[in-house]
Amino acid sequence: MSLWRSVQMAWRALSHNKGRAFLTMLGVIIGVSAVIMMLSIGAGTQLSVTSRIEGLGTNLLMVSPSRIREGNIATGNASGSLTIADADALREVAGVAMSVPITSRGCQLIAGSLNTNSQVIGTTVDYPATLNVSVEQGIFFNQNEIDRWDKVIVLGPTVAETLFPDGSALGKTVQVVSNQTKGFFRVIGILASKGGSGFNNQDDQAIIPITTAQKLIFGSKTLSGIDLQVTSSDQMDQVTTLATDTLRRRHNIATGKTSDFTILNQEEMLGTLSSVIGTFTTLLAGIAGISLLVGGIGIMNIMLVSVSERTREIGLRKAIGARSSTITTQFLVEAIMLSVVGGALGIVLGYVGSTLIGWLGGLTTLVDTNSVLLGFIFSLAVGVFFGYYPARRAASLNPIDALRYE
Amino acid sequence: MSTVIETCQLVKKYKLGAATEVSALRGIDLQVEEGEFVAIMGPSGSGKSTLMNIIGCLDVPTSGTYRLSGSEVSRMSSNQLADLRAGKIGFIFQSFNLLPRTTALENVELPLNYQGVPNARKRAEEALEWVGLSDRLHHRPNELSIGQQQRVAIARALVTHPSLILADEPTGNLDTRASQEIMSLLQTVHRQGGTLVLITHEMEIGQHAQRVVRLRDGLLVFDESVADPLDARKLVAAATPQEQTHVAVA
Repeated sequence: MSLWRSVQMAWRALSHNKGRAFLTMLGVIIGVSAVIMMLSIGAGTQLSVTSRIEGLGTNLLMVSPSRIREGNIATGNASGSLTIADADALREVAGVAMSVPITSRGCQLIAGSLNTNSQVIGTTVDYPATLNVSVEQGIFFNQNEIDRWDKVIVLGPTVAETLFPDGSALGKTVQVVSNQTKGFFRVIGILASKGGSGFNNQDDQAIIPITTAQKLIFGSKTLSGIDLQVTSSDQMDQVTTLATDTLRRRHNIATGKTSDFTILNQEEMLGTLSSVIGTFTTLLAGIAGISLLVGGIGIMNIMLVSVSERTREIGLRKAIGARSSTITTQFLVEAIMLSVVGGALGIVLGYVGSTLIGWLGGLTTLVDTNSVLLGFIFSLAVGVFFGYYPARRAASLNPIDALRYE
Repeated sequence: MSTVIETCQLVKKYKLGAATEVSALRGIDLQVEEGEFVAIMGPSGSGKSTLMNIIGCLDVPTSGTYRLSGSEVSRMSSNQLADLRAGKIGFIFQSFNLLPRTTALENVELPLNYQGVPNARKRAEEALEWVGLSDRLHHRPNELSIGQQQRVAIARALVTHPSLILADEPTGNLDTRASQEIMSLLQTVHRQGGTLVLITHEMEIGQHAQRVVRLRDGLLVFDESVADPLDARKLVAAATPQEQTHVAVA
């Protein structure tokens, strides 16, 4: 008997009881769509994190202050350990192309009747080159403006859009309100968009000279970090070591004590984040996979019911010459049809669901071919695995008993 | 003429629990030649169902031999038995055993599909035409009368051109009229050269056969040709006006 006839027969058997077939498939539909949605969230997050970190700039080392711990007691001030002098010292380290001190605070920015809460960054002229930021309109501030503590500001595109919806930001005045004080700044430039979103949005920030920030707005000499650009990527480890030595010496940290700063390598960060997201995705997909498993058990259950309902039919088929293997195939094809049709519907639902999550949830989602393939293969495997036992049970029926079955 | 069924000292024992054993057949020697119409009769418990299962290759004997059209069946594997059933035997059951929700045509096609025969549809149409149901090809069993259902079952048994047709109480669920029509049909099969084995406990039905074999307690106790078998065609013809008056009276 041809496989095509088995498929036709299975289709007829299932379409006879459409409601039951659909309910049976529902388990697989939900399972597969859940797996696909979870994988799409994972893949989307991975993608956005990767592009955001890569957008930070190439060959980047990030020095940030950290608490000193002696035993379990924090003894140093986390935000107090880095200064502009440190940044200047690091610029002299072999292999460092640029050393950019950064101080940042969340501030309120006001223009006329409009306002927004954004991150205000105080930094130096090397910032755009190091962090891969470009100015779209106007200019970035220069060393003179830094030396003079000028109140000039470069707005991120989101900020410019919010405060000046008509696009007339350049040359206008913006009031910056920090928790210490406030001041009026002249807009001299607007950054090009980097397309970030949500947490740590690089478009939702404003940049001012570091001197102005420290002395006029934030009222603090400490830095939130120093970004180092290394001349070539194979020097990353070497520069990390040298920079660590330099800073420890400057901070008078005795051998054996922990540093009051940490140096993060962009690639390491990427690797760590990727593996965290990967683990997270696997976990979510695994939980979703369990629902697929439950769906499979549902299929097995219904197939067992179907086998006992159709005992006489099986007896007859065997009496008129069906081999055991033919009966096995017939019921296996039915189970696989349930799971594969369910899987296909699940893929569609998963795709629609991912898109909706992307729209409504503000998450980046990405349904890739692999996850579709995985969902499909999984549902096929579920059909084969959970269909085999009922099919074997049907095939092993004794035709004499089966024909007499009431 | 060749021998279709040849059994020698056929024994079938069933185990009931660990120690008890029941002998359903206790040494049957039976020969059926090609073209014969044999009725196997006996009260319930005589072993006739067991004998039919073995003859029909649904079961194998505990001991003894069974040759169907010359091939030894007793020690065959279940797949070989299935192929034998598909190719050489046509079953007709008391309860028809048609697949529900499946048209008459597809029911008749089914054994051909298991054999992988080409032109299955055409052959099934011919078989249904032969039993007089050419206008019922696409009806489902629940849209047919019980007499018509049994005709479909007969068409299904004949469609493979089997060397042996096994009818197990084919009239057991039918009224007198339909029974006579079915017996008439089986007699036509016989007249055209088919080999039939009919299992029944009804004397009247058994007398349509050419030869009657009686079983009692797992043994063959009687084997005789019927001198003047009932002709179902005449019965059908005779019943027609009688039934009409009957209906009129009622």
